[in-house]
Formats: sequence, structure tokens, C-alpha cells
Amino acid sequence: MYPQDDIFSALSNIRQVEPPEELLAKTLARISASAPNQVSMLWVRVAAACLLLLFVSDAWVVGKQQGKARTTESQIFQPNSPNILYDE
Amino acid sequence: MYRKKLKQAGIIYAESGDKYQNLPNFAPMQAFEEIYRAYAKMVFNLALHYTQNRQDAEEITQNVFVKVYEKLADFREDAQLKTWIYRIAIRQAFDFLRAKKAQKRFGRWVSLFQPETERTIEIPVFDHPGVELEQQEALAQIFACIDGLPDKQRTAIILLKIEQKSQAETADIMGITTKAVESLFQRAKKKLGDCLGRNEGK
Repeated sequence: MYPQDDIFSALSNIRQVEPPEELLAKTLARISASAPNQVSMLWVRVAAACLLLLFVSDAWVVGKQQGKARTTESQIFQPNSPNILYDE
Repeated sequence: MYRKKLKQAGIIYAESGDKYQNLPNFAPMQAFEEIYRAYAKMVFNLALHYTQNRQDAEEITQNVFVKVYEKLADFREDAQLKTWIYRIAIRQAFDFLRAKKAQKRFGRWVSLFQPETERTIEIPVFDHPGVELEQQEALAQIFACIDGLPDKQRTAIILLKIEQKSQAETADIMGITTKAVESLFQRAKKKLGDCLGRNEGK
């Protein structure tokens, strides 16, 4: 009932069909739904630069504060006042 | 306008034999749509040959083009765009069929714990729109046997006998030699004959 030639000629007679029109829209919707939120590299660089600037300025401010604090400490513990007794 | 740009960028149509040369970074979505329009029919029909079901073929076509969109930047020029898409489509078709099979197996297992009245029996539907009505019964039997073949033999039969590809084209798509294609085809042909003979006896 199924000579090989008949099988293959039946297979070769299968028509090519057009995909449904709405398939492109569905595919595009799936792509946009699955696409991760992409951030531009420019913004990544700007954010990195801002962070770096923040760290540097923070370090600078802290450094300055420490310098000031040292002065204050020295002022507290070693008062630079003339050792004069009044009402002597 | 984009069409012109795409042509300039070397993206146009496998029918003309042109190679996909470089990716335009000005409009990836437009490039993707061009590729979709050029190859959607090919992918949809190939998916139909694997599933013989319109809904499943639509699902596979979507999966293929989502993959194409994601991997477009990785596409290497040593293969033709058409061949590359064929490979993705074949892989996606098998992935889909495997997932469906696993789902069915799980469903059957779950149904054992359900009361008999709630159990559903899923009958595979032969819904290949490319098959003429009078040939549906015969082709449903032939496809049932093709579906039972090992993956590579099944692909060889589909590409050679339904898609009418040459042995060289089939070998290129499958990434094997023409001799290997011939060998796969001969084994598939024998198994197909045996299967149909068995079914005829039933």
C-alpha cells in the first residue's frame, strides 16, 4: 500500500503555507516583554564617575576634618596660654 | 528608507544568495523585521513538518525569532543567515517537542491522583495546513512514523523529502558530511518502510 516512491511523492506534495499575519506582532511583543531594561553605557560611565567623585571628595573632606580635629585636640590638651597667675 | 539602509549594510534576502554581512547598529528592530519577513515562512513551514500542528508551529516560530533577535549580534559570517536560522529552527523544534512530551508525561502522572471523571485524554491532532484534505489520512500515518524516527534521521527526511533540499544543503544545515546525510536517509527510509508495513498489518 505504501511504495517508497508514493511516500516521498506525497511528502513532496505538501504545500508551503504563509504564517499568520499577527505572528510578527506577537513575536515583537514577546521580544519587548523579555528584553531586560538596558541602560546605556554612557549613563553607566556617568554614574561611575559621580561615585568616584563622591568618594574622592568624601576622602578629602574627611582628611581635612581630621587635620582640624588634631589641631583642636592639641589646643585642648596643650593650651597655648601664658602661664601667668593673676592676683599673685 | 530603512530598507535602503539595510541593503547598503548587506542585509538582504537569502533568495538572492547574499550573505548577511554586518549588523547595522542604527536600527536593530528594523533589521530584525526584515529578517522576519524574509524567513518567517520558511521557519513556520519547517515547524509544521515537525509538529503537524498549526498552534505548535506558531509557538516554535515565535521562539525561533526571539532567539534570532537575541543572538543576532553573535551571528558569525562563516555561515549563511538562512542556514543559521534553519539550525536555530531545528533546535527549537526539538526543544519544544521534548518540553511538550515532558509536560504530557507529568500531566499523565498527575492525572493518576485525580478522580476518573476529571481525567482528560489528549488526542494528538493532525492539523497540517499544507496537506490536502484527501491526503490527510495517509500523511497522518506517514508523519506518525517519521515522528518515531531518531532526531537526525527525522531531520534528514524532512529536509530532503519535504523541504526538497539537496544533499549538500542538508549536510550544511545539519553540520555533517553528505555521506552522513545519505547514510541517515537510507536508515530512515528503511525504518519508515518497516513502520508503515507494521501499521498496514494492524
